[in-house]
Amino acid sequence: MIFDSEWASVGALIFAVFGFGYAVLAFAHVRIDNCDMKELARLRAEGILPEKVELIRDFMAIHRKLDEIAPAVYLRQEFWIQVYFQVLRFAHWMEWRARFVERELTKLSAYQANHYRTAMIRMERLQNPAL
Amino acid sequence: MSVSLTIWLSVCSATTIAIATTWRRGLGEVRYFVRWYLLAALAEDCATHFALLRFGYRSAEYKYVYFGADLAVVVIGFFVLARLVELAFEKSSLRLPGVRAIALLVFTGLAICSAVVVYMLRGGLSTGTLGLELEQNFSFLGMVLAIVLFAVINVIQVEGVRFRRLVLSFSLLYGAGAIIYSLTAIVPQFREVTTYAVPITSLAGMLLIAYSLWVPEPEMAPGLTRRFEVAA
Repeated sequence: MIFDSEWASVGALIFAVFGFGYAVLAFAHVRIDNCDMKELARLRAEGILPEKVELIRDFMAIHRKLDEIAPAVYLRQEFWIQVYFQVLRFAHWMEWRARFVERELTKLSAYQANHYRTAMIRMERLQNPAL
Repeated sequence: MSVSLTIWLSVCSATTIAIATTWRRGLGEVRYFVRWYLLAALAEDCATHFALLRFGYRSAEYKYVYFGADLAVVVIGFFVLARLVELAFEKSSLRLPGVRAIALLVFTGLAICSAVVVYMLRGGLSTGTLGLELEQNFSFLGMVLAIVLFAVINVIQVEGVRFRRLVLSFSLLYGAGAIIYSLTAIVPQFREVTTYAVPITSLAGMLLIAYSLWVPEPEMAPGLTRRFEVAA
């Protein structure tokens, strides 16, 4: 019992449950935090994405492009990304914590953009094995 | 095969798998610290199991071995966290001197405070009461420290999926302990469940550490760079 107090233990329990929940989510989310954010700008510069930033449309555009080539290069689209995107899309529509949601949507698009780049490189290797 | 033997074998197997993953290629300096931590955890598992077989669950000897070894492993885990903090700061322009000394002071201070509070409120220091108090306080502290470290990693933008996952594994390991010991403190009847819940969380924690070390960094396209990466 924390300092032999039941109330302190209740407080510790509540905090621990929140901390534990946060750590579980962060563990799953860590790859999105770690992705290269510059990749989105590169896709824009290459004309793959429109110049004007539009979070939902950008993600869907990259997702569609990945859908086209991912199976050919043995790249598996992760199901949870689509689920997370739909959650964020709903939150964006509801305007809950708009800045956080926008940041998360940008990170998610960047994560997918990194996948797209990887898929393109694999495709190039398949087409030109000598490279 | 008895339940305790099954649990012990499962936890030992998970810890051994985690130890084996520390030899995986591409891991940085942190693997040595994690390896020593995991070896200490394996030694603890063996010591407590043999104490249980020799002296029995209700014996004073088993309590000494269990609480002594478990707390030692928890404190070694804190030093691994302190080393992770140092590694995170090494590549940044920020400086954080005396991390290990501060960590040592925090652990010692918490242990002394816990002992004094138990002594003043209970009029004595029984192994079980002091052990449970220390376990709960240290687990809680470990969880908080690991989450703070994760927040720092995010703020100073240290990259590396393995490194982040390793920190979060420790947070989950300590967090699970904090939840179990807090529940035991609030609902004493929960103690029967604790007997099984503690090794199961240890098992899950070891598997998480093994997973964090085993899964390689995601494939990066040539030309893409991470800001500063910590190998772990």
